[in-house]
Amino acid sequence: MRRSYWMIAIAALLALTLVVACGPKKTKPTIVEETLPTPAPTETQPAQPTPTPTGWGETATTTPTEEGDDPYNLRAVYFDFDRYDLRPEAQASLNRYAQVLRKNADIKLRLEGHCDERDTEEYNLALGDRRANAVYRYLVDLGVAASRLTPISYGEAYPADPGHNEAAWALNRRVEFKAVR
Amino acid sequence: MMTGTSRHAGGCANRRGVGAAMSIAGAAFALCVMVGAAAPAQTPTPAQGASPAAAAATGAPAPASGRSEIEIKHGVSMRPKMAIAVPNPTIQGAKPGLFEGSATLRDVLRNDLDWSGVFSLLSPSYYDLVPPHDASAIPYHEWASIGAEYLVHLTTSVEDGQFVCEARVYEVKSGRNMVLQKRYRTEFSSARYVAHMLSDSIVLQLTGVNGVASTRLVFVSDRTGGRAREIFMMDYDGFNQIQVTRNGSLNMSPDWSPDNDTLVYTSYARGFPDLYALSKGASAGKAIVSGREFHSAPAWSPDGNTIAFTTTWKSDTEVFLCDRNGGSHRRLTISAGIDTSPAWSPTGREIAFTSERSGRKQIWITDAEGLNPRMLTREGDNDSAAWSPDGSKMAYVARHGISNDIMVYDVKTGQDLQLTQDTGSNESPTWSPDSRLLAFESSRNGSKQVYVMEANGANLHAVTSAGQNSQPDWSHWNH
Repeated sequence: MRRSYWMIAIAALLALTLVVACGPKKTKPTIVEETLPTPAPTETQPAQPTPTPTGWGETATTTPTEEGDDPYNLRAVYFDFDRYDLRPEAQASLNRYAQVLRKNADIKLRLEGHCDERDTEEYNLALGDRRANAVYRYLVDLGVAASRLTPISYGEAYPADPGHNEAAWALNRRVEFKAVR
Repeated sequence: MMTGTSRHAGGCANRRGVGAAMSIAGAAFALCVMVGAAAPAQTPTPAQGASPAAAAATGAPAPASGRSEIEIKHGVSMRPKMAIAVPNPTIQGAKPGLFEGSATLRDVLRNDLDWSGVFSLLSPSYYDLVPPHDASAIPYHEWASIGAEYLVHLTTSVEDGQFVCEARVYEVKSGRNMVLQKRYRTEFSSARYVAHMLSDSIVLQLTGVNGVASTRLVFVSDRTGGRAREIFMMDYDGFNQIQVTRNGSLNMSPDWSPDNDTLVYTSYARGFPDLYALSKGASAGKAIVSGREFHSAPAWSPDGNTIAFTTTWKSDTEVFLCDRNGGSHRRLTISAGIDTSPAWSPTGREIAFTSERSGRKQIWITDAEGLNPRMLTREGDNDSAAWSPDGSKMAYVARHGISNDIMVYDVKTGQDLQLTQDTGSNESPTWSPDSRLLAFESSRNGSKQVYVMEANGANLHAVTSAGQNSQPDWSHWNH
């Protein structure tokens, strides 16, 4: 009993030293656990301090990428559910946008692919990427320099319409065009 | 009765799982008949979910006590739970903090045992029927008469400024044996972690497979506002929610390394979907696979050496493998259409994934070398596979109409169990390390939240409430 008292005192002192040395991080609590004998045979459990969430977490905050704007009013093109092929209306829009891009050689565009909420987040991230890349390839095939276009997916994370109905979902299945420097 | 120390919304012991089980009774009738016919000849093992790996990790022999029958309820095979009573601790002394610490210990222990999938907590409203007594004169027949099979006797005190708890677990019905005796000493602020350790020890002692009360979940939350979706971490019961990523961008799909030391996730911190790794104690995540292409859905192999992930290859979306530093890329799938959401088998020899190659999203399985791909699901629209750690089941998501439901496929019987129905959209199933519980995200109450339930859909609890919370991943057992 006295020995365990000293061991705990030393452990407490060590913990205190670690706290002082490591700065404002929270002290990791120590739990001393003993398994005592019972009438039925049982194996002794070794004492294990429970890991707690202290020690996890980023401290740095980085500035998120600027979002870009839409000064040439290139409206979004839309897709069918679970599809990434370009509808005739989408192709018509992209034909017009290719002309705008030819006339304004300095424009660079981010092609942002989005989905409605119905499929899983991971699948939707991939589907948004397929949509953005479908637009990308179509524009490149029309002669737009690939280096001016950046396809990127946001999956279902940023709906245009937060509603939970067909009308909202139709507005969320889209590729948006954002001008970037 | 909870004293507010656990953080889940929606109260405790929500029995919606039983309702769901009843509503699919018709679909499971064949299973009921099959198992009912075979029941007399069955001798199932008491340690459900025990595997050689789990037994080796816990180092404990299978117990002699514990139920072994399988009872058929509502067409769903459910192991009957052991009724356990946790009366108020005997508090020795009147030091500051001792009462609160003892109440926390009692409440968290009751919660842990009730959520464990192994015990049902005997309602404390019955405990007053047993006359007050101390440890030396337990009236076992009185406890048995109100239905207790096991009794946890707690004694708390203060020793040199530390919180001390002594716990004795008694088998009430037969033999009146003391089956476990433990003593804990710690700071008062760790009282709930003592309860977690004790609950796990009780589960281990009486089933041979450790409990998960000391494990944690990571998940994605929008609570920091704006376009940021940051990764958070919490205890499995929703307590102690802390922010892990702080890059102000979109972060998704967190996955624990097998040693619980590193999280791998998708992050847009550099403007594009990259694979990031953040280790415990590190002050920032590190991009391990990056560039202007698409990277997502990372999944650690069980041996910790390989990460499966999704990326773009020749204008298509495929599953790739890399080493734990993000190097040595090799392609796993090749098919037109999206292949994503890889999930390793517990042996590491196979990988399940979602593929559209047959026309609709289905769960496929391939060898870890990419050979021999074969369909697991054939009909409907299926996604988001998750192998149970004991290898006996596969959870996945099936789309029914406009909502998604959690399904569990039993490898041995070939049966599919639908765990959710008409309750919004339910996705991202993740198994507890003992394969008894599932965490998942659900929109059933209007916003996306993380829920925990038993692997048969019963005993459902919300564990988050602030903002919208999704994509949980359950940690592995602590090493």
